[in-house]
Amino acid sequence: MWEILDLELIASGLRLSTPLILAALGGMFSERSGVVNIALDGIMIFGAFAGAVVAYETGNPWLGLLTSLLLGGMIAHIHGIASIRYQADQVVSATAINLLAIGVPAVIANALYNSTTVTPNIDLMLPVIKIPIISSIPILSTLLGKYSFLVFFAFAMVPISWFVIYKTSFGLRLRAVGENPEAAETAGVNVYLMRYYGVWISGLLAGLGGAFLSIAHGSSYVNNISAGRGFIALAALIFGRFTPKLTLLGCMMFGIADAFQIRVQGVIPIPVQIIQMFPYVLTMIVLAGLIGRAQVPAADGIPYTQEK
Amino acid sequence: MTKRPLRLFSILLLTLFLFIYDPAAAAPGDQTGSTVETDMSTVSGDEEEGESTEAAPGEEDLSTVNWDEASDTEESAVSGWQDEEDTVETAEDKAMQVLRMAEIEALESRERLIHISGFILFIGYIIGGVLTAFITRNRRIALDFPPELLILLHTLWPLELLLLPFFGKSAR
Repeated sequence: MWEILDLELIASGLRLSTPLILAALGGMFSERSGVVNIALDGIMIFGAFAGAVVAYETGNPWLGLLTSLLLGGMIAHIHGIASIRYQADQVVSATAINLLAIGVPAVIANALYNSTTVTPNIDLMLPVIKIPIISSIPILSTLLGKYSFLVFFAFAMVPISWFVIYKTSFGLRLRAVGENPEAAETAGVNVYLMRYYGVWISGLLAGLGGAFLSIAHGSSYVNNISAGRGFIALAALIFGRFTPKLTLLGCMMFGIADAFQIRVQGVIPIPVQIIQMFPYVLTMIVLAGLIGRAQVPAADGIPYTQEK
Repeated sequence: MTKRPLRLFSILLLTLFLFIYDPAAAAPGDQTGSTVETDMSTVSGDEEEGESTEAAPGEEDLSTVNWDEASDTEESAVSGWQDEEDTVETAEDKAMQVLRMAEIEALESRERLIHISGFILFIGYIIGGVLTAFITRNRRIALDFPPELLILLHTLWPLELLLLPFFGKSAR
């Protein structure tokens, strides 16, 4: 039992936390701008599917990655148009996208490959990067030795997101429209545009999170590939109180919990199904209020109407 | 009165234990691997191959048979006249090996090229998008166009750059 609690568990946890980090950071941009985005899971599925199909058809995983990025942005943009322009209920709009993500990839996959559940394996995955000096040091090589490009990208996005949100005028405007859109409008900020930016960035990052699952961690798209990771990312975001640093901690906690449930299968005499519930039970416990009340942006989820 | 909640709690615990406890899973080596999800990154292909050679109950463990020795004893009786052919074959094998190595190297260099060009394209596209959004923030294209269209243009920023000569006049 205890032999599974080693450095490899943490390394595996870091890998598994990558899609969560990307989706959660995306969600942070959206929520900070005042738009609730529970469509992260659906966007991840779309991103994973587009990445796998394009990487397979072109033989180039980078084109797949770029397609995931752009499609993620486009899908989020649909959510933006519905909830910002037409002021639809943000939860309903996002749920519609999540439902679309169950059906649309299956239909397209069936048309392309005669299979509703899986796409063919890609020939070339995203590269695994070895850090030259670290990979020769015994303990560090296990912990930080070699990861996919997207793992490094996701962890690099944390300080970048912090900088953008807290240290740039763009971030200040984004936070302002999420807290008090009327005041921001009075100060000359285009509230609609900033909210579109927030939702768009969330889609870009969630799309990348999906691409990680299909062309970096795995080598094909399978039905419901995200397995609810978009919702876990939202839980991590709430756990992290909408700040990049704490969100990273939350994602790593869930990632390590996921790695733990995979490694513990077959080691302890408990049915696998019970073990697989572990990350989701942890999500419920976290959301049930062990972490205290999260400080949600004041105008989060409230549609804004411009005064004439 | 005080015993009733305790009894209820103990019954609940017992039920939970009975639900969780799986005697089949308790026996070591009986995990038939009904795992839906696995962390593929931690799976060692070599180990898997090694495990697959382990004999199933009731079957002979073929991995313990030394096939080289067995075939050697059979072949030694008739091998004398084959020596010349063998030398020719080994020369052919070497040539094939060299050819295969060259192919692998060519494939690796092609993959490296794909990764380098792809990385530049990916990072370049992101930086290009950010820069385009930054450049156009005070121009007519950003102020006159509806935000929905502007975001789409940012997504496809090379198109936005093409439109700049027509809508690129500074508005401030």
